[in-house]
Amino acid sequence: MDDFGEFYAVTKDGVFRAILVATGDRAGAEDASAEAYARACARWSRLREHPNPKAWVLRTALNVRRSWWRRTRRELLGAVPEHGAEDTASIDLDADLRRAVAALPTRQREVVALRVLADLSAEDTGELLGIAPATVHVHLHRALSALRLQFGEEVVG
Amino acid sequence: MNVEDIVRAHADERLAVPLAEIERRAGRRPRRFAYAGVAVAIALAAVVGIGAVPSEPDPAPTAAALDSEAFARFCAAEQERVHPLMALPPLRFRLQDGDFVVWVYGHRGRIVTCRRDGIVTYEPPSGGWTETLRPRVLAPEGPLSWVVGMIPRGTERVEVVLPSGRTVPADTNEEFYAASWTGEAAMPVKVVATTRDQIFTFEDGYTSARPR
Repeated sequence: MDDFGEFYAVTKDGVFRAILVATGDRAGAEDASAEAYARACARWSRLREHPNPKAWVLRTALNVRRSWWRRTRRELLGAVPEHGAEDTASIDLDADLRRAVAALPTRQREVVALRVLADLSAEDTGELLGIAPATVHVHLHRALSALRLQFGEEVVG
Repeated sequence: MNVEDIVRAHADERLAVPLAEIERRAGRRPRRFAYAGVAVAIALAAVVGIGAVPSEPDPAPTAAALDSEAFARFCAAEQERVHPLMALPPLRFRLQDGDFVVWVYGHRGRIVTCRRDGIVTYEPPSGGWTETLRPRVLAPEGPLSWVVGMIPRGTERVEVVLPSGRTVPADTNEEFYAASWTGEAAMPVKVVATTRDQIFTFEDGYTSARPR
């Protein structure tokens, strides 16, 4: 994909969903995604030769988000939304599923975000998170089992 | 439940930043920073490939090496990694069965659970007192199933009822309850809290109260 505009159009929603689910903060996910794409745009002539530019953007966005948390450490503590600002009274299945994914343990949530929503391979996900591909499979299996149980389906495997 | 369900549920989440804004951000960077960025990127690429590798927290203690201090350090490190602005609430419950360990922290309705695979924060329920007793946490994997929730003021005892009809007594600590069991991985169908003069029952999605 030579054109940055095309790369942005094709990948931006998947990257945003993954960062949103991994971090649980909509405004922060949007800003981190935009910043990561801006950095990609600034070096696109080189980055387009990268074997997986989307993984590069995801990694950069996650690093931007972590850096932001550390820069604002001195600010007054506030309510840090873990599950976003959804209406918790909603009985909509999709909303319930989003909430259930947001309630997964950190690693499981990150793996769901990168493997399912960003559609990265287990190898790329593992490299990005610093864990083995087999561990990625374990976290994904546990996450799906937890969601199946929560939604009343039989757990298989 | 499969991956397609998860993708579909998140399909309406879209990054609403126009390409022009991305290009404006990219073009706004001072050239000296751009050169510095290239130099840093080249240095990083030479060492670890393109991009910085995120820092990895200390690994969770293994079952054999598990002790309270080590696990407390792991939980504190995970909290620092995920929510650096928020301290861990007081520890309320320690649940363990073999290799499976979970510690439950809580304060003012906010619950933080810590397991070997990380922490999860649960914000206070927004549904008022009818949300009281709703099981807010369930761990389906591993040998131990467990739930955590909130209790009315003055609660003397709490029991959770499983789909099989089995009743499990819960522990209480301040405004929280926790119950754990083995052999039946399912959400409780009912939670009953008894105070001096009332019986609160969570069933079919909400909590009701009647005189004792």
